[in-house]
Amino acid sequence: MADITIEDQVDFLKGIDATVTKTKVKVEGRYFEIRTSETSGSFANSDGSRISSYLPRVRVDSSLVVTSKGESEQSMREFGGTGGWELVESWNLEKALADEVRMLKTVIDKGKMVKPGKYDLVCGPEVAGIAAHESCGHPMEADRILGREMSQAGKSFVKPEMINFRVGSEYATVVDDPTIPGSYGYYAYDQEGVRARPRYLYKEGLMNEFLTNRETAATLGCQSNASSRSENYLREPIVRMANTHVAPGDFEDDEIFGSVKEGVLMHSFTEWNIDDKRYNQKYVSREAYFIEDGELGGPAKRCALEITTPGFWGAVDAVSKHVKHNAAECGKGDPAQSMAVFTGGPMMRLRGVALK
Amino acid sequence: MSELKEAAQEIVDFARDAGADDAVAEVFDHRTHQIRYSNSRIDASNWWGLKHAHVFVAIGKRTLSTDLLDLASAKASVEALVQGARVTPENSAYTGIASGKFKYRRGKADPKIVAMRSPTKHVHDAISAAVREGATEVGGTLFVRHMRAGIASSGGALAEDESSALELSVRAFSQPEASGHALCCTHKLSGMDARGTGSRAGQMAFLAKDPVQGDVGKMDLILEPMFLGELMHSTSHMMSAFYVEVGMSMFAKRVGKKVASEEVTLVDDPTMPSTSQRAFDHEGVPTKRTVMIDRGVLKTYLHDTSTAKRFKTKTTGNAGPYVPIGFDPPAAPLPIHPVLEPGDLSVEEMIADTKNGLYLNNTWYTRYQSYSRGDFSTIPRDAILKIEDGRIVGAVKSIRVSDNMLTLWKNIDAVSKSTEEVFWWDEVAPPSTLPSVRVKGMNITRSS
Repeated sequence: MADITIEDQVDFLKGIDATVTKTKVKVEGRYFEIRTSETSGSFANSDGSRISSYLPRVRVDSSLVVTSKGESEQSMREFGGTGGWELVESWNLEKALADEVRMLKTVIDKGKMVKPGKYDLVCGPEVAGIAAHESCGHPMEADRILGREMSQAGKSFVKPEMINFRVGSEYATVVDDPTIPGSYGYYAYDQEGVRARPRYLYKEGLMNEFLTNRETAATLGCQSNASSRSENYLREPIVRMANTHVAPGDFEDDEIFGSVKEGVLMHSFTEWNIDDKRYNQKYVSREAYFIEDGELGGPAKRCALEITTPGFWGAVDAVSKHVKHNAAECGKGDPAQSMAVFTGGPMMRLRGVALK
Repeated sequence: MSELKEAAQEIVDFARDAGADDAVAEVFDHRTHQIRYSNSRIDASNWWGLKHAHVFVAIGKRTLSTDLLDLASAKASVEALVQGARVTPENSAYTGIASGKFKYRRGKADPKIVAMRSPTKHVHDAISAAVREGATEVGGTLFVRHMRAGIASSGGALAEDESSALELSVRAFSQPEASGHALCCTHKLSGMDARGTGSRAGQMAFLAKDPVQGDVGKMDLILEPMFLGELMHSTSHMMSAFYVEVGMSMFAKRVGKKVASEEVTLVDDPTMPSTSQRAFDHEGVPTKRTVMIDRGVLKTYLHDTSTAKRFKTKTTGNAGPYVPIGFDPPAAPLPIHPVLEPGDLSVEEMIADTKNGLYLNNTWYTRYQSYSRGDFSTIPRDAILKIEDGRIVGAVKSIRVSDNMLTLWKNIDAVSKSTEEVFWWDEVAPPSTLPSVRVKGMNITRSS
């Protein structure tokens, strides 16, 4: 990172802008931003732990508004990781964002609205990832479950006694793993000096393990699983996710939609939200395609899924082998703390859900 | 010259001596005491004392800024900043900082808030009052703030400001799915009504008991100030010329056009006494009252000097911080204290005049499919009360407002005469002074 000057970074963004502009797609709004940080830490506690850490992180944000035929569509993307400039180069952003604006124009020009009804839905990794984060990661945070966030981020539909409670099908496994090398939410030890490890939150459809820090683990009678993180030294460490993704299954991607007679592939999303007990959620497509007799068809425009958490995870009947991650900023705490995380997953099929 | 102004001027002098053409320094001395409580008991008490400076320098169009945390080494840091600016690429959007002879109104903190050392009594009062109304669990925060700032610029800005704030948030639960939320935001200790705020949260939680699944379809909505404050977050940000320029505003190309109903007059007023009263913006321009929407017609965007030049107008005194704060980018004009002018109805009259609708206490997670179109949804939380034939007849749950934000502002047909200052967490921000409003025919959806 030290070899990359501010001038290099600005030139890099200008290069992306030039490539996006050359697509001849009308991109009325263009915003690009790079953030780099290097955080060194020293940790000591009365248990005898002595931990030194160094975390370089890099992030690129883009906001694109495409117009065509008097209509507009927007895309807000984030790319991030723990490492140096080699990560930025690996994202191939000129191509990714040029493809993005071409895709948005196609959605405007050729996209058709979904006729409201029940369909099979294939979620792309970005959609599987946001669902893993919002309707698995957050409700499984022990501080929410115990009520400490009750007046801000809210509580949870999950209760302390619900370990082994069924929330999804046998294909629904969600893991939160801080130890993924190069991931945006990477850390080796949490901010209470506990060694990080993968946490299986939903395992084959059952609630398996809450995200805990030392305080909530003590209340629940278990060991902390290293979920204590803070935005900076001026903020209290609280229970946070790291890299939350749907675990891979046995299918190839094309097998996932190959058996769908009538459905939609929701590749990515724009608008999304979820209630403060993490039970009712909504995802609206940014990029989506109709599926007919196992074949991908034309683009679907602003397809909306509004569904409960057990409704979502209970409808999963196939998961592909190939996991992809996306960087995101997660907000929680008071004062609000923004936290670097990955969301992600493989392609995932939900049978018979209501789309509009 | 007082200490903060002097420190700011010294930083500007360092920058000019090092070769900066333009420089702005804003030195902050903030004292913040926070009490957090959940499950009806205090779970944390935090105190932060932070003295730091936002410093901006420009050499021609080469600009650079920093948040200076170590004021003792300001000279060396500012010299390094100017050196950094020399090798920074030109910022084509930069057109200079404000210059002139400015006159300021200096704010004043309430000495009783400044002297407050043990604010826990207010928290206990709020919890007790909510419990008396039937709440079983109460949570929230109390912030006690004393803020001082001094600013100086190479354009002639030189001023100091001071303010104080008490911000009490009370969320009460009467059942696992029945809650109410109330706020008390005041710049004076005499304005703190912890018991009243706790009672109100408890009353709303009581009214929210035994909720049933809400109906879908078009409904009239009465929105409390807290709900409206959450919508104001995105609405007022979209008034910023920055968000207009990057295509993330439903107000783009609509100056002079109808963007709301005639009931709506929306101003940004950092000059009125409030928790976010400010004497100057972040480039040192004296703040002023700016009418953004006048009886439904969009009058102006919010500007700093650079955006004003690009839009061929004058700054509105809304320059934002030179360093990124939260999710806001650096050097973007921002709203400071939005105010929706009151109407002439009481909230009771608005309910009595509603045939089929919902009374909404609070909301969160407002997200947009498209900022430029204004298509959004938001999830009401806390009391969602059903209105039939002018009366509240019960509580509902699990609904979402899924509609268009311009439609919402255009469909406001009644505004209450009472207003309230609201500011809560990351959602109801910036601090705003708002009435309750009624919005006709909004689309309600829910999970299938």
